[in-house]
Amino acid sequence: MTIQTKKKPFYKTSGFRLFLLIMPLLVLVFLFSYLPLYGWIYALFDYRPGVPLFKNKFMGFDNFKRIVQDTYYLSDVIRVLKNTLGMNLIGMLTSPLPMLFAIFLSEIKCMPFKKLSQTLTTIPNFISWVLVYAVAYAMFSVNDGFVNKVLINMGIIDQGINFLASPDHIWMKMWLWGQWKGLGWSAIVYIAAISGIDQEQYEAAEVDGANRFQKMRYVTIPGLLPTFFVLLILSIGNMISNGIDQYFVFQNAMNKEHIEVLDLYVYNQGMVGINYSYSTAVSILKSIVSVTLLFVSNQMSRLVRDESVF
Amino acid sequence: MKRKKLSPKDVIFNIFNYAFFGFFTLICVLPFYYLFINTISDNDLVAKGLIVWLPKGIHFDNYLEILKINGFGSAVIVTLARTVIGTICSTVGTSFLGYALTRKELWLRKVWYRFVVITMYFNAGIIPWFITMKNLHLTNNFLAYILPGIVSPFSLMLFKTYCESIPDSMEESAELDGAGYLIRYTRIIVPLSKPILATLVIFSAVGNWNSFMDTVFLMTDSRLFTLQYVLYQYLNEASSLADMLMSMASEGLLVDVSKLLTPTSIKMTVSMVVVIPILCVYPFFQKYFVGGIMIGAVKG
Amino acid sequence: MKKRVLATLLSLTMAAAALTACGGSSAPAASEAPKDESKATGEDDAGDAAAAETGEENVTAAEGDVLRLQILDMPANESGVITGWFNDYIKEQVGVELEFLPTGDQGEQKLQALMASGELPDLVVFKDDKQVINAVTGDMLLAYDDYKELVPNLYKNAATSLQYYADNMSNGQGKAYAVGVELKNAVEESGDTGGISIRYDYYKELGSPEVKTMEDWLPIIKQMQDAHPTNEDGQKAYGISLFKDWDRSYMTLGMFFAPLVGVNIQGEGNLAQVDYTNNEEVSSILDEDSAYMRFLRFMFEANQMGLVDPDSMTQRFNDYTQKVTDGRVHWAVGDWGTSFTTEQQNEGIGFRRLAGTEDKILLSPKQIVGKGWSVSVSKASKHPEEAMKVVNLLFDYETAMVEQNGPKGICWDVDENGNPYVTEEGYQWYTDSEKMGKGKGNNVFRAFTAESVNEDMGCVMNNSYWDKPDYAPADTKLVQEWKEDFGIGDMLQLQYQRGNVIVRPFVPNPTFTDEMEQISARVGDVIKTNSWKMVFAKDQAEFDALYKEMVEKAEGMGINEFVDWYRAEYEKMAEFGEKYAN
Repeated sequence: MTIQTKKKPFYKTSGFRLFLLIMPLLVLVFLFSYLPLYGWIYALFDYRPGVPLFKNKFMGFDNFKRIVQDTYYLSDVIRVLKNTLGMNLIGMLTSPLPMLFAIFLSEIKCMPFKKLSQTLTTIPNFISWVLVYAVAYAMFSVNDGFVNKVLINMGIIDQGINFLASPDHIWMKMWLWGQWKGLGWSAIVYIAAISGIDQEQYEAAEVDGANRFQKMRYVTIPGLLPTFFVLLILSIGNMISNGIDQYFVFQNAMNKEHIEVLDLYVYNQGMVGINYSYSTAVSILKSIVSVTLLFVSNQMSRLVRDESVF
Repeated sequence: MKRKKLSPKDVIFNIFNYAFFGFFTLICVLPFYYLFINTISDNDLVAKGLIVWLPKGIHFDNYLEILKINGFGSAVIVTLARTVIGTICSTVGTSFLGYALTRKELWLRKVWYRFVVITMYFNAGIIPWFITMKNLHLTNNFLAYILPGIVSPFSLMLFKTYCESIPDSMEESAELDGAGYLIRYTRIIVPLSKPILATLVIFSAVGNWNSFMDTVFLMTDSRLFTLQYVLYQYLNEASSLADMLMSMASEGLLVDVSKLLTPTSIKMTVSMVVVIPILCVYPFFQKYFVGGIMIGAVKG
Repeated sequence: MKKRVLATLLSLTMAAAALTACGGSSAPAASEAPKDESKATGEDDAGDAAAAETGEENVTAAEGDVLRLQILDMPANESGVITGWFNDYIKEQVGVELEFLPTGDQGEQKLQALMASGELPDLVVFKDDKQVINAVTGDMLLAYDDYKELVPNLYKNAATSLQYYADNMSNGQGKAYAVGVELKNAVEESGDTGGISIRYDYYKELGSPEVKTMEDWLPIIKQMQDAHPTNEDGQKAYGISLFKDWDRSYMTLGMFFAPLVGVNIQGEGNLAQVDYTNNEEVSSILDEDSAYMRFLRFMFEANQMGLVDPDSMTQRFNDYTQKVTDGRVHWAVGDWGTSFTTEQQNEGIGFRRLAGTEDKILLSPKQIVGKGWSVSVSKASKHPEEAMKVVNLLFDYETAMVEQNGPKGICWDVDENGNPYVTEEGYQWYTDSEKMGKGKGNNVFRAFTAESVNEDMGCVMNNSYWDKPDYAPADTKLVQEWKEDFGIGDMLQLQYQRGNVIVRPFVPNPTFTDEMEQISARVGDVIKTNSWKMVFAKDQAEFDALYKEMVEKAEGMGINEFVDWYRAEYEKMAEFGEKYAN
């Protein structure tokens, strides 16, 4: 607690001094994240890059209206939202995994093994989705796929299975690829957080006779929860975006029904890329929805946990 | 550490734990290994998909080819420079801002925090971004690699969250001694947040190391090209070279396609060149993750 | 330990700071800044600082004495400075070097950003006439009319195209701000085109059965696959393999199928076809009797017969071509990957072109205004005259021949009768990817296509159409056999002989409006998905059901609107074409 004396003028308070210290950083944020937002005005025009802005036709909110009015099949929209929310929900339900990964990793006492494992499990994060697909193809294609070859040699099947074109369990498959690629990397944050837990707490727990599981439960996990909730709320803000790369490389006519997420749908429907103003309108809408979700989830966290994240 | 007798429960747990991490590490490494042996095997066999377990016809032409790329040396220097400077600036900037935002007395604290965090969900589009950078004179300017990354909202949240777990008492005593914010930040916060700082460093370094879109749009001066960009450019060329030769072949000219570098093996090689340095540096940061912090020990 | 790390970091920081000084505008240029490893050593720091201070996008860095111009080439996938023999040629002729601005897969965005900022690099190759109009509206291009004396070759060799761009893409100013590239001023009379590709050795094994029309291939492919279920390495082989990499609004392989039955689908995003066997009728590609539906039925039936590679839907183009080259595909619509090695061909192994005796094939007409790609000089260029000279050079007929055949005097020359011939060294070059490939960027942009005629010399540009000298590599056994079997030089000549060639009339390609592009994307999404499902449908009933669903959805999303628009546009353009053809 800082003691504020009323006599001090406002600009001399320590709170304001601290503000002056961080002001340059805030200016940077403004310059690089807020200034370009003037570009949102393009959504109100029929903007042609190259033509000066005010020579373009003014559209008002027509571009936004178009997003709603365009002929979509309601069934398509529902399907796409189902895919988006479904896959994100799986992701959210399993979001404790990186935390558990970090906890169990920290239980490994053999240092070289631990370090090796920690380093090597981050590798997939650096392999682009295009290459991941190349690996997937080498493993799962019907004719040359390694898995099919093994299964045929073992006599389990006599015809190759078309894993990549099959629409079965596609959400789970996408989730598995995602975990393979991201688990080790996402765990880094928790590994750091574990190292930051005060050793005295463990010693105190030991004195109380806690075994290793009790220490995990009563010391480690509570120490990691703040980080966990921050990441969870950020991911709720991203509820409607899954990114496009992963689904784009894996999509084909057979699995499309279940793999098409919102970002991919918007791309497939030609809503981005063709008309700059229309694309801008789409991305503004997405930003608004995301920020709303972020604040709603933050509010909910305040109600449920009595603690807001920001 | 005193050696305790392990309970049967512990033994079972250990077996499963080691088995799991062994297995998971293996499936993370295998595809990487697969890509790696494909980069050093005969390109022709690679294209046929015949390299699965062991490299055949080992050669390093793919790597030599990449070393021979025009401007490779300067690109390495630029990338190292941007990674080192960018990471230092970003880690210092982000962590200081994160620290400041934990201080309750900060004027309009909540506003500033939200001000930074929501930018994660903005996307202004390429045109206004480019024009802004141009108006800030950040085209063909090394600073364009550094300045935009100084505050990273994601890392900021991580750091702030971590910082909040440091007991207030630590700072209070320093405050009573009359230490200013900068001193408290360097003397107390930084030593206590080494693990999270290491995380910030890793995130920022990897981000800087991998990024190339800023070069694509902002740089035309070849002295400022980054490694990733040069590789990206090379990938595009390689595929267009292969296309060209293929079309020459289809025009009735005879070309020995087997001698050519196939785009797939180039893609794989490039990805090795990108990943291997990261793997070499990463372990050096791990010591900050190992063993817990003794908060009491810092007090003195 | 710690200190050493710190020292390393510090020194790196300092080195980097020095670099910053080189490129930065804020930091004063340190005179002792270490030069980096690039070729920039020729420049002094004062120059650096000055260049940086202007903050110009189009800094045309002078490298030694040679001026370097930057080019943004939308159709090309090229980047970096042009090197090798073609660079030498340009340097020798106009004293400049060309440097491609990187585009990668971001070309469109990069162009948009540059256009929005109001400054384009010295030279721009546009992929779309809409972009030209926008650039003209934004006053970003120079008119060739104002530099007439620098670009005589344009007025001599590409006058029609200039006129076309002056009339239609100048916002009514009547000046040519762009000129078409890939101009085609003659229609080819020979060549290895005009049919499908087939494993000729396997086909001959079956006793060269007669083929009247496309569908007759199916039983033949079946027999070929039964006889050769694997390749030499024992890998599974199929009659037909497909890929989806190029799909945009439908299965793009269908676009390559259509001209083999006399129908044209112009572009991967087009939802309408023009039937040249039937009065140039414009209709939807989803009509029951369209060429595209014929393609889908063909592939569906092939799959029913077990001829289609099950990996077709998941493999990439690279995987596909490799399969073709490895002998794992017996029949193909295109010729990607079909060039076998000389040794193989001398054993009679490999692909040749064949076609049914009753199918009409289409040839593209003269494209004297270009196919929608064009080149312009930027108003922001610091060296407009040099840029003009480069354009002029590339529109020179002899340059076009150098670009396509390699350096004159080394790869090819002109004999005493004025006819071009390939030299002995030339043949070595062509078989040596190192030498030919070293001319990186020799596909800058082609002012003229390979079939075009050098009107000065009266010969075709590309050496594949020239008379072969004695020392030219002999035909392989495979080619020899084909020639003997048909008693004629190549497939296209055979098609002419059979009277099966239709040369399309010249019609400039309509430019899609945003609205049409949107429909194309949206409808195309449905067509792509259902088409692939139809090919792999279990039975006729599923095929029909998918077809019905596809048509219903497509109509709901406005395919008819698109077809009507295209029909009107096509007719307008056809009239237009006649005007420029004369």
